[in-house]
Amino acid sequence: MLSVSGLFKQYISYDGTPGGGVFGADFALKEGELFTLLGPSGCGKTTTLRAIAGLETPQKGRITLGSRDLFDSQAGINVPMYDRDIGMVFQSYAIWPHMTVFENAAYPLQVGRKNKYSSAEVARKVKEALDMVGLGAFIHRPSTQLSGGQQQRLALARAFTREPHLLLLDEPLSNLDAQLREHMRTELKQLQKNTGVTAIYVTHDQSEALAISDRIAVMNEGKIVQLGAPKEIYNRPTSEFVAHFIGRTNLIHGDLASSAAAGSTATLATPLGPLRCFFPGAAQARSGIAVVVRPEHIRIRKAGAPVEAEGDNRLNGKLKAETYLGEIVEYVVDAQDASGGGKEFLVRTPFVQPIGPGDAVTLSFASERTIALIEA
Amino acid sequence: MTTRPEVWDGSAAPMRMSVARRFGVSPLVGILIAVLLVFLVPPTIYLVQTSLFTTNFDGSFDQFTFRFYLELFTNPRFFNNLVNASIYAVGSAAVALTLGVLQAWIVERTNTPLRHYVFLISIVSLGIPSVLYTVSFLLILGKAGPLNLLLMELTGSTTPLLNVYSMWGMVIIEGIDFAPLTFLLLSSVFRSNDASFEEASMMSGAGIAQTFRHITLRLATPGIMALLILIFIRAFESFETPALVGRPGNVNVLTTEIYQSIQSTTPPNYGQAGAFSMALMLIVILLLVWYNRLSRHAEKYQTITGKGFRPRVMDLGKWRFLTAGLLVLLFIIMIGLPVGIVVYASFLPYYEGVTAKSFTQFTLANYAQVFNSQSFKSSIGNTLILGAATASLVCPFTALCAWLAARRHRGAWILDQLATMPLIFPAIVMGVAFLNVFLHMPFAFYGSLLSVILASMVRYLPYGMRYSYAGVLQVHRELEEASALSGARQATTFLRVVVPLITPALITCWLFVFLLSVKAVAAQILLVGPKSQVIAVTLFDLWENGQVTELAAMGVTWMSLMTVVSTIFYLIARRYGLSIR
Amino acid sequence: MTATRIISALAVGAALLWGTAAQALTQEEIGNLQGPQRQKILEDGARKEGKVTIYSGMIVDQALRPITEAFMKKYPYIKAEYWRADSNKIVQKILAEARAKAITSDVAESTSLSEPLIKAKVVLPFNSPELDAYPVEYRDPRRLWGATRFSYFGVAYNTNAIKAADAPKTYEDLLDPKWKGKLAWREGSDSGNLLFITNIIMHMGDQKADAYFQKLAQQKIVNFTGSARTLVNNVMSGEYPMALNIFLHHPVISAQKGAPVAALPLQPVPSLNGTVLFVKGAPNPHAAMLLIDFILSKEGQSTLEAANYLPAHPDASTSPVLASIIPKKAGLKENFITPQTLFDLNDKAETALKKYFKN
Repeated sequence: MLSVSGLFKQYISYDGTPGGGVFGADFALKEGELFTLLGPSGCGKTTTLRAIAGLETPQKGRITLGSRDLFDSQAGINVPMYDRDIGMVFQSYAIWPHMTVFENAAYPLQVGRKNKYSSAEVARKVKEALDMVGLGAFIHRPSTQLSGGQQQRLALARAFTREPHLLLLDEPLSNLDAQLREHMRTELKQLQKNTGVTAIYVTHDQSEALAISDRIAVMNEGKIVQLGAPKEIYNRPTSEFVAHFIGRTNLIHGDLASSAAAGSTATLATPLGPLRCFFPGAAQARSGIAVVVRPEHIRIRKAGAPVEAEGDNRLNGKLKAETYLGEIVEYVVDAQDASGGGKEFLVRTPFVQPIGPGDAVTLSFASERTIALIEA
Repeated sequence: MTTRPEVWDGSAAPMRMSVARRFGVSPLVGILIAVLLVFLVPPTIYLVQTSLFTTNFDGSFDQFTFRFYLELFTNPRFFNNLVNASIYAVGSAAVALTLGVLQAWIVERTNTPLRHYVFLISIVSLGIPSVLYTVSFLLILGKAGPLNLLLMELTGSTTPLLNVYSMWGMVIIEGIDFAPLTFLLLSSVFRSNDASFEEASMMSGAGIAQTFRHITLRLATPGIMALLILIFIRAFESFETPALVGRPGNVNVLTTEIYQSIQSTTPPNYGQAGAFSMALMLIVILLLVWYNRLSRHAEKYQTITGKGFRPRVMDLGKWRFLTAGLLVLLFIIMIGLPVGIVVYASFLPYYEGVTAKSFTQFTLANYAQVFNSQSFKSSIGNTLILGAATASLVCPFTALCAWLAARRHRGAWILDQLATMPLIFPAIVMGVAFLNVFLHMPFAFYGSLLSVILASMVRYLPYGMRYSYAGVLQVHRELEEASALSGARQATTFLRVVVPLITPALITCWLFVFLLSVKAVAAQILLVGPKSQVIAVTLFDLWENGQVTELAAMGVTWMSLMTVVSTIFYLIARRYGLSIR
Repeated sequence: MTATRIISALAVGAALLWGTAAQALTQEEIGNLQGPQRQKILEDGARKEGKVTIYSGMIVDQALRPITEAFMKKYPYIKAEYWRADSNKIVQKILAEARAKAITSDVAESTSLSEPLIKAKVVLPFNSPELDAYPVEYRDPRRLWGATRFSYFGVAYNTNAIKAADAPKTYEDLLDPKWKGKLAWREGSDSGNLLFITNIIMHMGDQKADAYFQKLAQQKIVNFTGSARTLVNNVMSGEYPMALNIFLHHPVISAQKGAPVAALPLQPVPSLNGTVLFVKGAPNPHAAMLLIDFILSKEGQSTLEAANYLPAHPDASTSPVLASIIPKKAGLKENFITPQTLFDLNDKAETALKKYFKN
């Protein structure tokens, strides 16, 4: 469908000092998939999106949509943005305030040179698009009278009217309030699945990305650091960055005595004692291997309390703080290492435990949830 | 001034800027640059040439010489002019600022009654030609004027006490003339300060005066400083007041000396005018550099907070009637008296000061003369054409340039630079430069209305640029990108998205440039001929020819017309919530 | 064969040229027209031109407007337009127009513009039958100008501020310290302070004049930049108590209307004559000649008399109220300064002005 290879774009400030951008991104989209570029601000995700749209000219790389080269620095191809046949929803929605709802949605059908539509066709297509996003009743409203959510829908309808091959969504939900955002993302996903359009979604919100995407490319400092399905990204992070960026996590470093095969479980010597870890990829014996455990994968009980079903890793510590969050409880535990020093562990559990700050506690977690940060 | 692009994109070689690409331009930008160069290069070259050659009796260049520059240092008049110009500029900037700060604070930050009318009045006063304004103050402050008569009555003196044809006269008149503009610029500075700073001060126990001094004024200081330099520059290069007030009192400044070198010596001393012009330009350039630095600093200092920010006003309690009284007093001084005396003079058979007797002699003869005069009618017609043509050429052109520059089209930064370059030409210097261009044209062009329009267009390019840039910056970039991704080409995007969105800014631009170009004398006085007389120059000539009462009738007629124009301006600006700068 | 062809072609060409020349006269020829057909040719030509433009130093409401209105009454098909300015501004304008090949003016008239315009070769000789009535010294031997009016110069003072008995009687009286700061004169004009200085130099000689200027400079004379008429208006309104070297008929005219101003000739009374000139390249040469004729005619000169100007035409009588300022009639010593003399002494006067009265 869409393939991006070797995409390189560096901004250079006016005085000549190099700035951020994207430094060699490769990925390919499958037909009908919702693909997300996720990362903190300045990671290059928006630059990548804008390069695909044609709003930025990369310095190197190749972008192909279907069988058509949109950009190829070596062949000197650069299809102008108005010819790329790509729909886009902007962060600010970019609803033209001087046009009505109808005029906004009809614009792509009127200005494009490839297809000429009769006004009846335009009216029909616009109506379809607006109905699809639930704005059919607002068709003749001035666009300035729409609420934020409605503007968002109009932006979507406008991007759809031309039935583009590819839909780009640049943080489309970031300007909505929390409740509406959750509602809209479900709707968005449904719409995408119903229309079958291939879409690239840019966001810095990891929960949004996990909820909506078929696949996620996590970016950092201009590079894609991990690419995979949401579950894979969450459960099998391959770097400290991804582990920290997607959800909250506990990180421990340790030494591996003998090499571990890919997909095997091996014991890691850590300051907190030996831990059984899962190795997604093969690793040679070395020190300083990082492992992560998600807070919700850890069980907590008062030291000496009866043992229920437990993981094979176990740590002792002292409860430092407890925060009640309604659906879950968050505990901060000082785990004791051999030298008596501590390491803070975060634990999240739906069950309130009969413990209080200062109590001695035992943490346990399964070895398959203790992931060594090794690429598969 | 416009902002420089922070990021430059379009380089094929990463990490390093290729010089060729940096100077590479797109075809449209190239055409626009060429157009600007056609208008900017000849006057600049002729101005430099004028200062470096002796001129023959018939006006052609003769011999190359540095004499005129050397004379700058040996001629005591140059130094004297420089000192006068500096004192005058500092003085009038101080007067304008004092009046401006006072009004801006009262209007923006207090609950004084009547305060909103100050905007309307300030904008209306923009439509009064400077010549008329100056003349009206000469009538008020002159030895035969009401103020001197009153003082003589009070002190029992037999001779007038005040001589307006002096430095203080120039300073007061110019200062008052600039006050409305200063107010308009300052009100936005005051508006951009968060009221919570002042509220915090009041909560700490400070009174209104202390808060004003320690908080309001301190916060506005960088903005005020930048404005001070701006007014200083404008006063330094102003012509009307020094010509009408200073020259009779033997107080000469650089601009009047330039004018005199050309208009009052036979044959014209073009060389001296050229060298003086170059010196004046150099000073203005230095001042502008300083101004740019300061205003950039001022922007950093500005404390605009985020969304929904609206400064609240201070409750002055019963003191608000005092400030209202102050506003009324300022209104009387700045508008009431000058307009009043001009209206009064327009009904007199001949002007001889304000006496009881003269009220019995009221006549409409001056108005009859004005309305029957073919030259007045053509003068009005020419002026309206001049203003409309200047504004209609400048605004669309600068809108296109500003858009290209704001969207960082390749090479568009050159457009930005070129279009703001005329700022370094003081109006009278631009007159000298264009006079020489038109005199050397191979066909008859000098003295035509078109020639005056062209010079005026170049003069007001920077003002147009400023408005257009502000308008373009208000258009979110994504609005255009959405259009491009909808399949629209650049021209379609510009016409269907950008133009409709910047239309309010363009209308403001149009009216502002219109008002400025019909108000000024200095840029046009050396260029107009009998076929291209314009109101401001006609008023100037009438004053020099002593036809005060006809001047007054003409002035009143013109002011009425311009009041209509500027009221429309005000209403549009308010309708679209545009800032008037 | 070829030669004959060329010659015949040349002949045809010459005939064509001759033909056009016979139909449309050059401006030189229009200026030199004489004889009974002249008036008809001029009127026919002027009808086509339909307008004429004069640059003049005459005060608009007093003389310039009346004389052009009278002209338009006589020739209703010609629209007469005027532009009023001081002599040197008119010279500047015409020189600039000539340089830019954009001549707008047809006729130029003022008190001290003839010599610079002649020297710059921007005027043409002309014949006017009206000049026959004038004495020979009122006509230029080169036929480049004709005299239009006379101007006598002297002091004007405000009668409310200064009593007649206290007014100065001689040039030396002007040095009295009591006049310090009370005098004004016109700056930047040949008929202003430069004429005053020229007159003194001619009257006293270089050395005595120098000493006189040195003392006069102590009086801190105000340099006024408007027209002479405006300066007199300012004396009337009390702005300046006394003005030097103004046109003496201006205060007389105003005093007659009851204004508090008096004219005061100091001996010798400097006098200049106004001249009318035919601008080279005039766009409306026929109408221009008709206007020059009219200005020089008894009819035109009479409008000046009605305006209390001093017409040059011998048969046009001067208004009796002006008798007091015409040296010949008042028995005063006169110093008639020809345009030539004024021009020749200009540099000297300019030097003295810069030396003593600027800074």
